[in-house]
Amino acid sequence: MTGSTAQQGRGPVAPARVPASTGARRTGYLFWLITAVVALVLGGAVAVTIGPAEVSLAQVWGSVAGHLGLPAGSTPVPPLTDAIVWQLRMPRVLTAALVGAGLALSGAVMQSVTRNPLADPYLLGLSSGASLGAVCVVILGVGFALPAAAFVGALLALLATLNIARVGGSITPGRAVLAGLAIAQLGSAGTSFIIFWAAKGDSYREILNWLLGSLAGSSWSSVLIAGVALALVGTGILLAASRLDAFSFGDTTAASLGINVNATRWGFLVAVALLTGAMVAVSGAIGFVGLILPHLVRGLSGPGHRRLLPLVAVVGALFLVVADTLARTVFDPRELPVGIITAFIGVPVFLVLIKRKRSGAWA
Amino acid sequence: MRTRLPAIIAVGAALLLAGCASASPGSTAPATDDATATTGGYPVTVQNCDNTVTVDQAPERIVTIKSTTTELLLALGLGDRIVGSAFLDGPLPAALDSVGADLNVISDFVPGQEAVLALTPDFVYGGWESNFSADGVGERAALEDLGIGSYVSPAACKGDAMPDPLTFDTVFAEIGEAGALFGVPDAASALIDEQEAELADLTPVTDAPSALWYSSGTDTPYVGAGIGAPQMILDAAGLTNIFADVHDTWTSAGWESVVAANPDVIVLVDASWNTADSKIANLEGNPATAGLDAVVDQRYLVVPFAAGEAGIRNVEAAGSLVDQYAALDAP
Amino acid sequence: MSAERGEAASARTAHPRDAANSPFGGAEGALFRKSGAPTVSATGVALDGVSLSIEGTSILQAVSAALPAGTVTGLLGPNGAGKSSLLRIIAGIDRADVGTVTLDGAVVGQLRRREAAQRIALLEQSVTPSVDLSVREVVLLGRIPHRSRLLGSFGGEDDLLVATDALAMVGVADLVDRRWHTLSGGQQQRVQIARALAQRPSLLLLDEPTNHLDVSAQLSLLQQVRGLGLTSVLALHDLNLAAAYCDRIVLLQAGRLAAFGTPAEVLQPDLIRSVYGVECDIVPHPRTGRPVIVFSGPADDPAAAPRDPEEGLS
Repeated sequence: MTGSTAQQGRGPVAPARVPASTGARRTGYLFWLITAVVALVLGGAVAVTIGPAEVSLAQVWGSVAGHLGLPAGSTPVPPLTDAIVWQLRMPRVLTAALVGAGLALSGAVMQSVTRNPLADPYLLGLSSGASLGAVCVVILGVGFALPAAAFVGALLALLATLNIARVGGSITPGRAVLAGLAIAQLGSAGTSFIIFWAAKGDSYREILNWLLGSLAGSSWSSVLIAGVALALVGTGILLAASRLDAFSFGDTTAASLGINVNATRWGFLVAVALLTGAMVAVSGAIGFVGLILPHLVRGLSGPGHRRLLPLVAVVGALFLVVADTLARTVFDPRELPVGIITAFIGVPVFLVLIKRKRSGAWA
Repeated sequence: MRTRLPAIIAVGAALLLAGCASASPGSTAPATDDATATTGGYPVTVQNCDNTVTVDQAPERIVTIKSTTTELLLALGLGDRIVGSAFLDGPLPAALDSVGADLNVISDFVPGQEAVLALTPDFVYGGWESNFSADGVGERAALEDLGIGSYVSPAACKGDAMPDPLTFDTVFAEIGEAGALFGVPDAASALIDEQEAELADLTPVTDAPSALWYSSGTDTPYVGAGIGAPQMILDAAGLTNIFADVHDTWTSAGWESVVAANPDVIVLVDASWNTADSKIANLEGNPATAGLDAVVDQRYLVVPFAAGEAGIRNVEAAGSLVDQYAALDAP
Repeated sequence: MSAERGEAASARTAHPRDAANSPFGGAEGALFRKSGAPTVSATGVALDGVSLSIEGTSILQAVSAALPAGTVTGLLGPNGAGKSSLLRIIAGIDRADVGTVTLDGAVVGQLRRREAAQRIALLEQSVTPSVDLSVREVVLLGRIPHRSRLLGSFGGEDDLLVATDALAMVGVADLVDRRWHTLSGGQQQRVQIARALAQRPSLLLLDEPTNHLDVSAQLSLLQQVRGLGLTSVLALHDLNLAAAYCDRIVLLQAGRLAAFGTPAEVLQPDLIRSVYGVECDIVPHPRTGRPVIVFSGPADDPAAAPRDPEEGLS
């Protein structure tokens, strides 16, 4: 501080040397990123070897390698064991990773675009719309169409929300949040009504599982859906990450920096809707991932979205892989919906974060 | 001085209410624990799901909720005393078609309290404890205040009163209790004798093949577990439940456990809202379960939903499973 | 330095209060009204009949002024006079309903967003946002208008040099690794200015930059802005700060131009009374000679009335 006062009034001085700590700061971020990626790969590998069925490591490797065309070793893998590893566990772990990444990424973007630290990917009525679509097809008995119905439901909800929030073409964050709440309530009421009207016997169980979010139905097609969505939309979001920083100072500043505020905001919201819609279609509305992980990761990634977004995606993937592994093994052979585990882990972590928060950025 | 007046009013009101309560039938209860069913019988008192039910005279206007209770009363010859039924789980078995022809089905779902009261019943016999909720037919205490007795199928009691495990003795005991409550102990005894004989005549499958009791669920199957009606029926049929070690009546399981167990046969529960065929389609469509022996060889046994809950059709269901199993291996 | 500027400014013709006599109307304005390709010549900012209405309410009416290049112009007026709206129009963020703003010959309203951002930097009134960025990142935001066209990336070596330069220009180079929310109000304002400078603008627009700053921070900030030598427009509340640091003053009242000229010309007691509703006297600053406004009180306060009944009658 004394340096700056000494320089007052003397006009431009020679450019200051770039402080050495820049390098150290970059290393800190890279360290966390690499650690997270390694943890994800290891965690995923371990998750594939864990499950209610007794499958030896050699068999797991034999199954995976066999399908990938790698040398499989000499242990022959019985077809059902192979089915367990390749048709149940592998797609499930992969889907968990992709969905976790997608939800965390969506949550981080949503929090920045709406400038609301309590925002999650479902804020704009997305999950209620998806739930409504999903419940309709379950009740009608056309369960195979569930992913499509959920996706369409999410997008319709978003359209409804944005149309309500729009005034003369511009959407303010506050209005979007309120409109989203309204649509979410409407979707919820619709879902409850349909359950009340049509759910017989134990079909409500299936709906409940879906509403709480579950990765139990993961197949290779869910991997495909989630993977394509994450690859396309996620890449777009990552490329535009710096514009989210410009939004931190408000719409006027963003506009003065040459950013088309409306178009950019619409663009981000639609991207989140597409990404979240795909994830919800595949696994139901898993909560807390998109809400809590951005806050967790901000402390590690340092400031700026170009650092935050990639790291939050990787940590999101890791988080959901761990949560889902717990969901399917803790009460073996029973399965918990993964949304319960994410809440049980997420809420205490969140509370610890709030207590520990020294920096005042979001407080 | 002034403060005593509210207290006096409160005490007075309490006495008044107590007086009203004691005026309604069903609460002058002699403290007997067992169903007292002396010949000609009344009053009858039973313990039912943490409630004490006392009936002073044979109910004449009975509302039944769910198939198990409806079918039991029809089998006891009380069809003309049923003023309304609701929430049935499927069509009546062929044997009861004629006596149940005039059944007044008021709703496919749990009816509301007013709809039930509109029938001016004096008794409600529910298949699930949850039927007696405020947004269902009404809470049991509330019904009692209106002079309407209530009884829940004991197999469906939750909490401490839940049978663990459910056995045919429990099922038959319910028949006996129902007989006492409704004033037809002889018909009840006859029915029990008939069921016991049928049960004794069963030749269970030999070699104890393993079975999955698949009730519903696509991503997460809802299956029969270790202490409920599915287990009881499978035991009687001589089949081994792959989830017998799970301490629950039914449970949500994972497909991995099913695939790992590779059951010899799969028992499919058939309901109008969730047919056996749709479950077969699900099994065949899931790449993990498509490789199961039972799926590849189409070794399926079918049980109607109503027969899968504790009631008079369980014995018949067990017999049906034995017969279907034999048919699988027939050339 | 400031004394020289003051004398030079007072030598120029004062702009008449009546906006209808705009020197840029008609043929005379042709010199400054070049539509189409922007020129490089630094001719300053020309406002020509700028008007704006929002939902039927008139915000600005026919505001015209010529701000020479390299000068610091103070934008004054009571709350609701339209200062922020005018700044937004000058920045090209909002469009005027009628009239144009020309910067160095180019019509701002016709510039593309990116181009406008490369030439004009606007700092809005400081709200305290939840910003989780380092100072470096904040200043780098100023390079967004210069981002690569294809991937929109910025922040490479060149941009970092510009950012460091900008920080040095406002004397906060040592804060480069600090987190934004740990800075004091004065530091945050300076970093914001560094961000604006990183845009390498020809025009700097500051909306009430001295709010929430203590007196030393206020003075040093304005001193620094003057020292930059850029064409600048500052919306200010404090008349004395404007008098001390501005070459020109645009005085707005209810959306109309009440006066435009040097501080000495514009800051007259009768004008201040009619616009602000306060009584004052003007005295020369003992060291710089620039006008200093000494307030007496609200206009309807008999104790504040001028002693000589002939003065102050408008």
